[in-house]
Amino acid sequence: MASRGQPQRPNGSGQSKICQFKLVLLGESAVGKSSLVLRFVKGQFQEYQESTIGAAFLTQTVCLDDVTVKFEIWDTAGQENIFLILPSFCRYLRYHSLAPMYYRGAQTAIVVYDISNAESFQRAKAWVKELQRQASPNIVIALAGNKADLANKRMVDADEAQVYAEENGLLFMETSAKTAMNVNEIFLAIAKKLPKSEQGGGGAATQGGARVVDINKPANNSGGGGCCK
Amino acid sequence: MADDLPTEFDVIVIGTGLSEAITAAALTRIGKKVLHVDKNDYYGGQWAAFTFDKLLAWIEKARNLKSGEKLPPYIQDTDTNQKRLLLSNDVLTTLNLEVECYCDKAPEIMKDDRSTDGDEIYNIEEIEMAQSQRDADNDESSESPQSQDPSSEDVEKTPNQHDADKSENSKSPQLQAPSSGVADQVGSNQAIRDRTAKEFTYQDLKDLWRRFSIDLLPKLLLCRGPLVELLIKSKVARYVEFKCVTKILTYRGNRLVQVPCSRSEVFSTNLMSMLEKRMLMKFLSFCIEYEKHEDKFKEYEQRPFSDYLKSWRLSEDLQHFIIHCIAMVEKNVTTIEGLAAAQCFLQSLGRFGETPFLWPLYGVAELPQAFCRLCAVFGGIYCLRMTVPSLIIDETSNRCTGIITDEGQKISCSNVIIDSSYLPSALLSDEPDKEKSISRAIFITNKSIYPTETDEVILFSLPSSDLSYLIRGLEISAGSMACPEGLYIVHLTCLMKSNAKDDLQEVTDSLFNFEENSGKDGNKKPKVLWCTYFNQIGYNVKERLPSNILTVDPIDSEMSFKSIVAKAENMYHNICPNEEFIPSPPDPEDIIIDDTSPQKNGKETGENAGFSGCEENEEIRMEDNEDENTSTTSSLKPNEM
Repeated sequence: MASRGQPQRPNGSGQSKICQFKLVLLGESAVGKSSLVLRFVKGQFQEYQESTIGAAFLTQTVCLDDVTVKFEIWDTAGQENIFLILPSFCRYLRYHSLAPMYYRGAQTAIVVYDISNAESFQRAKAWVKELQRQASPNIVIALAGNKADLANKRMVDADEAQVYAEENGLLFMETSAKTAMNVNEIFLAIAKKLPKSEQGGGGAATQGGARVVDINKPANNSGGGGCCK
Repeated sequence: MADDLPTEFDVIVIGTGLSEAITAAALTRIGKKVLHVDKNDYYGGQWAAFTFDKLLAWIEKARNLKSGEKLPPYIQDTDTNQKRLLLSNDVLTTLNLEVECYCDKAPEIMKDDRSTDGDEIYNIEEIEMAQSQRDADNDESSESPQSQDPSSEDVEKTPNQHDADKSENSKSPQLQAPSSGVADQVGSNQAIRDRTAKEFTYQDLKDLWRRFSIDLLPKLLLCRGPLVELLIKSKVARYVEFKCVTKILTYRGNRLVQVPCSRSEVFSTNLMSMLEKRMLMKFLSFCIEYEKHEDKFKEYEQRPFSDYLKSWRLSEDLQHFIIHCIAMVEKNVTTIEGLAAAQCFLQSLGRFGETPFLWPLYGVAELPQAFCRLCAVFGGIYCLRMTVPSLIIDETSNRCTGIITDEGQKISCSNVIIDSSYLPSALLSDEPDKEKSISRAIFITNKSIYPTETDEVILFSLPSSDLSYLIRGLEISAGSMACPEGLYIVHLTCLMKSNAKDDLQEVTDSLFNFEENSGKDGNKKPKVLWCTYFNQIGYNVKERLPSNILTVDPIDSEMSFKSIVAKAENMYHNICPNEEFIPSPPDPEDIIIDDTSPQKNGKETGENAGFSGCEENEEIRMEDNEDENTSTTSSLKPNEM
């Protein structure tokens, strides 16, 4: 997680630089957030996937001409379990208290809705607002109208979504995790749009001095701290 | 949607502070059903961090909260063998709140540049000179608090006048920022650029609200402390990024000096003589494995650490260094405690950086959130802004059998973990427990207390002038995502003595400048733009509660996280005596889908395969880090000296 969004050079090879980006997924329950990720990361699809438990991260890379973009995808597991209690009319509002931590340093987000569910499109709009309010100001947001294979049950007009996306500066595609339509394409479009320059991250870019530490890295030297030995 | 909430859980956790969050995560991790609630609409309780607008709102709320009457804590249920323990919402966890603002509140006309005279970057000698000058000027400056009074009164009203939520829209004219969304940020960026090396106004602070992340309870992680190990083991570390503290400062005489942490720093420091360096190294080498030499400290074990240091014939300066900067303990601790603390410091050196401490980006408040996420990922259910009016106690078994929601619904559980500040005040001690309460101050300043050209995270450990207690300070800057460029946040913390402002005043006056051009060295010291003082309070639970209700103190006065992790582990083992504490979660790749070989179906857009698996790149990242690390660690190796 160190140096998110920072160009890195693979050791010993003079190949393309690698940029790592944090990607968060948002959207109403059962619109296919996890399915999109699974299709993208593993090329798989399960018709009746249970809501995700215990998965926090997946990673996948996309190669552009001169850079390798590595997505650190924060899965949605847990989102379904978070409520904010509101007074009177709507007692329990799901999701709306996602920890700010979830958005921290996210350079990109995919907001997913289900084209056969008009309500989910409204929720997607609320998520976009939430992102614009909470997340990093330079975040690249993509809107995905998922379940495009269910065209006969369509409730959300593609043009309407397109217009909304343009008005809000979002990338937009209709996708289908089931048929793989536009799944890789949407990640690729995000990869292309993300700034790959030194300042591009928007995350924890450092200017020397205190650098970001990745404590997941196994401790160097057994016994570690220089002092112990 | 209320029906969605199940009516049966294994454990209900009330309050989202760090030890509650760790315990909740540990419980769901082994499959327990957990409901985790908080009365606030944010995570963390007294562990929260706020953007500037939210901090103002929090201050307002804390100020207006009046402690309620002490009502009888129990209500008998008629006809049943049950009684209800009535929880409260008005236990005062924040006292003695004061807010002061020293920057102009009105949008001011920009002054001409006066930043090019090398003012910001000066060397240590100058600081030291400044420090000693300040001592000379001390008599003058001690008058300044009184002279500030009119302005601070004036300012105290400001947060009331401006509704925090509106701050986004009320732009000062010269910022030219559009009013919402992304464009708003562009405006703020512009504001920062315009204002580098210029005066920040109160309005600027409000306009830049979202760039602040201000902790109520700042603490540091020891690189080899239990929390770091737990974060790694539980993989929660992936949710949080850290920076290593870059400098540790203390007073020597009246100067602010850097504590040498690495071997090369000890070599090069001019703070001690060659003889002292040898003495120090000898003592530190002993500290690292003090257990092996029981004979050397046995007779002092329960006596004051300071006496023990005297027995080593260490100079006054060295004693101060060891007590306040290495062990970082109060002067009256026992030898055994002092040695253990010093050992922990030394063992943590060089693991991730030159000092033994880590600071999470965005602040410590990320940690409870990260454990809450782990809990939610494993199926824990979260309800924020949920008040729990009462707990149900079965009198026959003297056990808590569940909670009643404010809709009157019963949710049953076999254990409750509760932040003690949710308990009715009749069950709590009348007076704060001073061992569980701290004095806090938060400053927004325009300059670092120890300016360098790089981004720093600075810890300072300053004994009060009569050496009776220790004040811990932390300065963080934009690089730690705590505040906008050009501004600094300074946190001061000490055990509560009387009230926050009095406890911290002395150090505050020596570190900062409150008025423009006060004293000769006035413009060398950071100027405080805005600050707040408050006490965070813990009480003792007076009465014995049923054994399946576990209470947690709302805050913790320790500097690191040792007791927090111990508390969480203890609660966990109380509920699940024979289970491992947060076993490493399986790799997410294995959970979602059975181990089938991944198809590669990506388009090829570059020379390499378009979409590749993640392992290889994982390695690259590790290697990169190792490179960085080996090049930067040069740590204390006493034996070699």
